[in-house]
Amino acid sequence: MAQSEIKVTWESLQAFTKEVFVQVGMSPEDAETEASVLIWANLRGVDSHGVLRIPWYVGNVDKGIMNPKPNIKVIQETPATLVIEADHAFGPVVTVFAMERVMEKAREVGIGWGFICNHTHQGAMGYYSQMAAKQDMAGIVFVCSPPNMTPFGARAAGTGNNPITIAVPAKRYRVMFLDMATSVVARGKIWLAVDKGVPIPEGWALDKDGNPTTDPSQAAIFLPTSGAKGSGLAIMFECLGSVMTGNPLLEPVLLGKGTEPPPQTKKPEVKGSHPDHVARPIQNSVVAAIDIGTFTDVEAYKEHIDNLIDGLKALPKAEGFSEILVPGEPEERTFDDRFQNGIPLPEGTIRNLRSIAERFGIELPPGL
Amino acid sequence: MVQSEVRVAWGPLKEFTKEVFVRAGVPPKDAETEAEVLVWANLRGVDSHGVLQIPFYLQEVEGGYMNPKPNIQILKETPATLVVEAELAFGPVVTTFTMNRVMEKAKEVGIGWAFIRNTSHQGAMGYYPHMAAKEDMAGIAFVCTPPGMAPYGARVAGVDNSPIAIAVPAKRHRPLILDMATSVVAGGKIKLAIDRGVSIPEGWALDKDGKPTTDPRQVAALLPFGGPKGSGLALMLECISSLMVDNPLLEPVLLGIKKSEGHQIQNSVMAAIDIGTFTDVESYKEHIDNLIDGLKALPKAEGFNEIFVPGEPEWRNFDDRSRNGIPLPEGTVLKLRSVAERFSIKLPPGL
Repeated sequence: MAQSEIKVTWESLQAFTKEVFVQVGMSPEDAETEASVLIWANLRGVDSHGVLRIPWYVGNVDKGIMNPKPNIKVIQETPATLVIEADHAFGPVVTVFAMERVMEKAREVGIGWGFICNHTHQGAMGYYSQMAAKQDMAGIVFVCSPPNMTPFGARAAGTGNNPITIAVPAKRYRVMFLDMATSVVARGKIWLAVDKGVPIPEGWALDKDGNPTTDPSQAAIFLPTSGAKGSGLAIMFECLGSVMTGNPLLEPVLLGKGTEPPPQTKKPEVKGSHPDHVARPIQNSVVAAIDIGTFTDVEAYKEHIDNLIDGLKALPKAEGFSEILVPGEPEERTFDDRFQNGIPLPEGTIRNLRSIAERFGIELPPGL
Repeated sequence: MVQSEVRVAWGPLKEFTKEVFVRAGVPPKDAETEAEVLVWANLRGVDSHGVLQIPFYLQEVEGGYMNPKPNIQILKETPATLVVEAELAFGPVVTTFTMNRVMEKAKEVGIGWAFIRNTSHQGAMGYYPHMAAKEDMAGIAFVCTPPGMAPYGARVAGVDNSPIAIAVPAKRHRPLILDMATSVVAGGKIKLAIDRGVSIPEGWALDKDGKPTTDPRQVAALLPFGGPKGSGLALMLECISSLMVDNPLLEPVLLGIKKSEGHQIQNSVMAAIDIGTFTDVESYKEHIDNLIDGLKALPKAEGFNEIFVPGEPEWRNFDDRSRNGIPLPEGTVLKLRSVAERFSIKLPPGL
């Protein structure tokens, strides 16, 4: 049964979110970055990667898993590449930094390719590829996580549901981008179902014993999109990312060495923090940008993207479809609506945010 | 009704294939490369991208869509990237050239990334990242062609089923090679079904009226894997390949400027990442071994008695077929006999 939703303006929600992260010890700039990335997801209707994550992040800071004051370092660099040690930084903080460095290299040599080691959750990945698109570049990012998805043929987790995002600029159409997990659905959509109090369809997930489930609170292991294809991609991302920097995330768990219990904390488990089924949610990423102007005329490129979009949308529709949407388009429409009219939040999320507000003595945004 | 298959040794099959292309006007070294790549596919059991393509390639040569003597040029170059104009070269010829250049750059600056314009069919994409894996690099390749797959929400073709291939080396195990179309199945599997005289499952393709079909001869558009996922990925690959080198392949067909005539003009990206730049090569390869071991040791899903890693089934085929010969279906054998007659070349033993 879907519950009612309350709306809140994006500005007040972002200010609230920033304040929460200042309270957990982040610098104001970093807290602003984190808040921007979360609200960006909510604005685009990717609520699974928006403010519903706040209690989880706060809980992770309590447990020492997410570092509000990281020592971020470039540990290796070539004209086209770099390797960044994130020191468990909040994902957005280090990934924005990485994408900016990678774009500088792309301007110089046509492509920049960066590895980020040991970062934490980045929010909606499209944010970063879109940074590149806004600078007239193609942005590509993929992420490696510890196991939470079955490899094809297994009924236990063996790979991460590693997402990939690719974004390119357009002219009339603003931007076009893909942001997809290699699982059938992203994990956050399971959490959203929990927050909304609704079941999930079959084929999304298994419980911890490896049996199919439609109860989102029992979902522990995700299923790969298209079986061997999603599974294969996820595995290869790990090989291109984690293993390339000597920091494998799958191997330790697969070989039974990575299942240490979460660090102990005296603070009670944060309400609504949706505890992980992985011990340490550390991730590695590859962040890349390709400079369009190095290879072709930027304006002509963007016009070609417009033409491509027009051409696709003009095709005869499949049964049940009244419009053909291109990657990122549904989210652009949601963005325009929510930017104007406010962001709706489900009851579960609001309850959790109220607890957070209480804990830190912060005022909630109007409407909550 | 599945027809019978004959087996032929890979060596003579490769010689035969090389000779066919020499007669078609391809210089011997290039013909050798083409034969190598086609037979590699057959050895790995990716028959859809093997010698069954020969008659089609010969047609393309006659039609001027595959160029036996191209003027391959590097149009643009930076320390990390290059743009290669293929002039409709045979895919394997220009692509092996490009991957070699890309690996040189990876050795210098950690990564090499190349765009190839106007190549013809490259065969099984996995061949090229595998070249990188053999040199202790990670290889990435993808390719775009004019529309052949229905975008999510459409009932006719509008994107290509652009495959992506990624390969990395291991130590004990053979290299991991992912080679996957963004369609539910590769187009060549439709050709294979026609050659074998069998039907295809539902969910693979649509006919020209946009309806699901199980008759491979009625296929007009393939379907994307995972709906919007395969569709979205294919679309973005065009945006970071064809459009990067001002050679759109979807747009002209979508806007009605060009008709999609089935000629396999392609744009491709080849990339290599030098492992030694970032980490110790031997450790890397051991980690890949451990990853493979760990994955294969997981509890199996119902109906599975083994978990395969990307490329593994194909390595087993490779070992079997290297020793025991390559099985070819009757349809393919008949076609090869025609070709042999046409050029007066001796068929490999067994055919």
